[in-house]
Amino acid sequence: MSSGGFAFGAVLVGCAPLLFLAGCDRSEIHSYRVDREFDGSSAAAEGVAEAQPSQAESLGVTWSVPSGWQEVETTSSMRIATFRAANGQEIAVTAFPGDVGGLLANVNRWRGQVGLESIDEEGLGEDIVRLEGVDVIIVDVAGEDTRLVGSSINVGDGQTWFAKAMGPAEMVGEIKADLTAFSASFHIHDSHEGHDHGEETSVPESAPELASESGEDAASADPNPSGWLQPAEWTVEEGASSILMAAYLSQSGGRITLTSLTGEGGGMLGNINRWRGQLGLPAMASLDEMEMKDLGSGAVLVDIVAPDQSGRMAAGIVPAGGQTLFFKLTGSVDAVEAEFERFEAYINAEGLGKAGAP
Amino acid sequence: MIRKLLKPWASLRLTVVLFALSIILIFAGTLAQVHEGIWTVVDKYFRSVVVSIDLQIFAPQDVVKIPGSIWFPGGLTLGVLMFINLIAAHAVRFKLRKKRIGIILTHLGVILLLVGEFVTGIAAKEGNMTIREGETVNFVEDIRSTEIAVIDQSDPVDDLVVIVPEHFIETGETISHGLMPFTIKVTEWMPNSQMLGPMQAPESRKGIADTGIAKDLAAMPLERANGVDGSTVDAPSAYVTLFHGEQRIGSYLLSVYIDQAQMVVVDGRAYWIELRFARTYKPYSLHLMDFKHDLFTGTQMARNFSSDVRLVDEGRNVDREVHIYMNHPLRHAGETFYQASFLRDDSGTVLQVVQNPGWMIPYISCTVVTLGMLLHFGIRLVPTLGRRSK
Amino acid sequence: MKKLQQLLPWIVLVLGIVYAGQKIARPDKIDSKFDLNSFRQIPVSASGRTKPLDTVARNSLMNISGRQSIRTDDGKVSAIEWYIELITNPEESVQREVFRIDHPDVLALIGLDKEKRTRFSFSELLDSGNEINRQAMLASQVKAKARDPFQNAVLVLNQRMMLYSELSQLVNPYLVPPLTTGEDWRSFVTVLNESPNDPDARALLGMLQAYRAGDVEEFNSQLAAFKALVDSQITYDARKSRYEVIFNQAQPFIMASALLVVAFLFGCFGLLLAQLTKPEWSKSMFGSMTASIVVALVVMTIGIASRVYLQGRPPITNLYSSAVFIGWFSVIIGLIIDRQMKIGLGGIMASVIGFGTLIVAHNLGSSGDTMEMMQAVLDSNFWLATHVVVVTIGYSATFFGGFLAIAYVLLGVFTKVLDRERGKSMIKMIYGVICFATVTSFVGTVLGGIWADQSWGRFWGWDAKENGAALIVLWNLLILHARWGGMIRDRGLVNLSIFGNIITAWSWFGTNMLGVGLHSYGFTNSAVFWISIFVLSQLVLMSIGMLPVKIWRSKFAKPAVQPATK
Repeated sequence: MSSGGFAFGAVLVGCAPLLFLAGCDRSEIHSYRVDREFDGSSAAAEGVAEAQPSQAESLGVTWSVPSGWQEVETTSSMRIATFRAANGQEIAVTAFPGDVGGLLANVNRWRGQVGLESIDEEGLGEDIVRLEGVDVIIVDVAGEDTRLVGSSINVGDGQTWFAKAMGPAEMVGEIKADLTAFSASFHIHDSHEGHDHGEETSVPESAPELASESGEDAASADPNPSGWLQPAEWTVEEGASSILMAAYLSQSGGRITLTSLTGEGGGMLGNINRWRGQLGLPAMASLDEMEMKDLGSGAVLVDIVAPDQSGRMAAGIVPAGGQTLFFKLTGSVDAVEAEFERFEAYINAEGLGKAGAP
Repeated sequence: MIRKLLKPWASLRLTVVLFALSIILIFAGTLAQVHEGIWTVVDKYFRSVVVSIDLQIFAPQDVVKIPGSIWFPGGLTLGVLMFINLIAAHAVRFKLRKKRIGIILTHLGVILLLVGEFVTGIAAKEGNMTIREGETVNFVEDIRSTEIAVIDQSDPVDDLVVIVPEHFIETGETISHGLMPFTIKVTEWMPNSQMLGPMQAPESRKGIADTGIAKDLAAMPLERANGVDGSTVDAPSAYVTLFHGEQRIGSYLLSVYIDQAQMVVVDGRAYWIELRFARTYKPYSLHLMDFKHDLFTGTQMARNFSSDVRLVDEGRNVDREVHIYMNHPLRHAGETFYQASFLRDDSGTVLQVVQNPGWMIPYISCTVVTLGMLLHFGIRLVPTLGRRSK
Repeated sequence: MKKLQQLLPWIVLVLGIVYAGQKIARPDKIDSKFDLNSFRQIPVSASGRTKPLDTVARNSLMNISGRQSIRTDDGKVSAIEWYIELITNPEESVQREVFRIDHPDVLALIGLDKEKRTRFSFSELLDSGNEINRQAMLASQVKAKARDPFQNAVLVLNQRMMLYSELSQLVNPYLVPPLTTGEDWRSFVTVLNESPNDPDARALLGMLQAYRAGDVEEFNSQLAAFKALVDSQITYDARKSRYEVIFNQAQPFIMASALLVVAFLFGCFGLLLAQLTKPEWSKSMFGSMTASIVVALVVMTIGIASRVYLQGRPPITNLYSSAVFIGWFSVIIGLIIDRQMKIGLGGIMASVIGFGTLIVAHNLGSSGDTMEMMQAVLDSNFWLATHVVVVTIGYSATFFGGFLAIAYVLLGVFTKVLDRERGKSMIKMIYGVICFATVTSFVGTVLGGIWADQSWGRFWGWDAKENGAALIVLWNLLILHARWGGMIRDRGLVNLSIFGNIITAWSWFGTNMLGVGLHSYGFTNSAVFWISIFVLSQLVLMSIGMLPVKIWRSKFAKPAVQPATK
């Protein structure tokens, strides 16, 4: 049947190019458009500004400092000057070339810093006041627990200057008038008046300010209904599972959770073994062999490291009335190390200081 | 004339030899998986023309050392040869007789099976969709390949993304292209890596990156994942230095471990760069409403996994809720979504997305072969058995 | 004499039924005033499965000790008695010598290497508890395949001690039933702490305290109260619980093994007597063999059916049950072939394979509950019933063909039993079985591919076990094609069939031992040794089979019937 032969020949010929196709998988550098997945605008504005710090010294911009304000050492390399008012509120002075993205971008950046959403042009009017006679715009925005009063100043030296005060609403409110006057006093002076404008720097400020400036009380509208205090360095984890009474992320990437289970919650040994299992360790026969730190009142703290160093868990078990509180700090070996002391302190404060809550 | 040419190709001896070679190949390809990942083995042994078989795979290293390797025909070669052998046999020897119908059907089915595996090999695409609870995802990731993405957010609505496929990324390479706002010089490419915190990293690996959110972390290269130690996925990282023309912007640590893009400021404008698993954006999206993971009481063994997702595909007017669970995938737009895995602490689901145009071929071929076998053996054996029982 | 010869098979049949029946129908009651028979029927939840306490007690003791009861100078202590003593009277219980330790280095570690016994008590081990734990931690950091026997032994010991502690602390199993059906079982300890007035917990507590105090009446009444509570709370089928207790006791597969050994002996006698030209006695022996096999088959069938009933799943769910099934199916094939062959070889092969696989199964089942729950991905009754069953039938058939081939070689080389007719008959049998094996292993493998496609979108993933199945199909095909092409004749067929045993053993066990791939759900350690022995034995048999025909004692040229009558 020669038809079979033709068939076979055709198939072979047909298959050959496919063989080449099979080997080809080289795509080129290309581009496409997608819907926005994250909003980098505020960080961008700040980053762009920070990437190009200015040298204010040579331009001789000067100001008059309100009475009661003390100039203090500038902690951040980005600031030109830092002042402290009589009530303790800090005011930071910075300057950047150009218009730093424009007024709207700056307002939105500051809004972001107090936890407010961005606005568009129309809503701008509410937050700002333009001073007369000088090119100064005062911005006043307040979030739930933080208020920011800042000024955007243009003295004509090709840069935009900022004076910013951020903190509890009352404190900031007290110095607002002084800050307005201070901002209006900016001008270019020809002669050097010996202002010490702080160091020049080329390293941009790194981590976002959110974490270090979150206020002391972590009250409503967060997964922490009991109002317990969390250390300032921790940020509340969004969307944490509702089983967790509290869930935080530390800057170093460790994850802290707090759960409360009734009764023994499965017993200490059972839980410790479960955690050991999660880290790839064999279970232990009894609590006697477990290295635990006694925190008093029946509470203990254990530290479990995965044998291949891939993870670590510090856990505090605190009997509290009819419940047992389980504090867990998980993360890489480092992250846990970094947070250990704070974690232990947290347990002592929350677990033992507040036994019987909530 | 053609008959004469084909005759040697049609011989049963060849068939037996090909079977024997296939058995050896499959056996070797199974042993090889002990030390190499399954995907590597599949590409090396079964989808190749030839394979160099490392003789050490036949014995554990600490018992006896066997140096050297031998060349052996790969799966593609053996498959093609079997294909030829079958077709030739039918062309030369088989007459269409009723008695032969069983065998003809069987062989037809086998041909289809070979074709099916071939089509799968070149056309099937697999990827993952990792969705956290509450999240909506509209792309599929290929965890066996990565890309550098440079994102420009200057447009008020869309992001403009420039993709550098993985094969451009090699230590020492400079990547520049008209589409990119800066040049990427790859100072170190690590096809598989681990991330270490500032306290864990050795001195020599600290501070290589001076810009970006990862500059205090360090990446260390690892052996490629071989699927044996539990990890089947390579997690690459790269140290890159970015230039704008002559001006040095900074050096960054890019890694698939880093979940977010890092900012790059060029000329007063901000761009974002990240190293991520290769993405294919889809015209539909899946929103994970709930992920359930039940364990058997008192154990860590999974009883079931399931994902409740909302599938939205505007182009096809689809907006519905779907329950995906083990052995019950979602089929949409020529792709199938399987419940594959999940994120730690049940925080999200991982769906395997498979696009295989040839998926139906094995079903058809197996039906045909089974039918053929039953017919053939039925016709032949029944009378024989009858005779013997006397 | 003739009457005896004719009656013998029937006698054997009756004896067999009586033996099996009395074990099933008359469960051994525990001699105690405490109503332990009811106690052991109490349902609890362990490893995710609801089962009677009896199963937990037996499995735990089996795990720790290697036996389902303790032999003491005062007699036998049953598993349930051991268990209740463990939870009510730990001071006594820790003295019981139940921990089985064989490895000399482990014994040295705990300072007991001078003892002549193999079982030790918990209190003896507790002194070295820290050291055992430390060694176990070290061992656990090594990859499983790279561990040496000492590390494996110490890990096993540690795990057994953990199990013991968990049992005694009432952490495992979950004793307290859910308040309503659908909720979860609860650990006794948790319930007692959190709701001390929970009636279930109180009844349990009362029971255990009564036992400890020796108060028989109180124990029995609390037990009755507890049982009533349980029945009202959950819709658990109390019958299942009772049945499982009976099943545990009856140990059908051990019974079947015994019967198969008897069958094998009868079969050998039958062959022997046939050689000694005592055809009547020979027939009688073969008849008795068949009788034993039939009883064994019935017992195995009841055993498998019981497992299906208790688990609610198709017969094959793990390595243990696959072994049992292979045994069962081989016995069936054997009986069928026996009818065809008439020289009792089918039956002998059936008993050999059946017994062998049951021993394998017994070893596989020694670490715990053989009716364990299935992981989510395997959780599909349809595919378990189709793919797994068919592919296992394929394995059985390939084994059977291989063993028939072994019989052919042994009989042909060492005896005169195989004349031309018998030889041809056997060859046809082997050929037929191989054909059957080809079809079933192919269909079974294909079903597996379809399952994989439905489950994770990949019909064929070149997974170790998939490859193993493919090897069996390809090997069977190779045999058939080689025969059709005239490349092999009778001896070739036979030797290649024996090699098929090696390939099947690889596919069934070897692939699990690699520890790779989606199929590695059954890992055993000493199996490596036994599989190597098996492979070696097959190779030896093959080399015997390859001896030149001249050396074979059976002369195939001679027909059984004298030439004159042909």
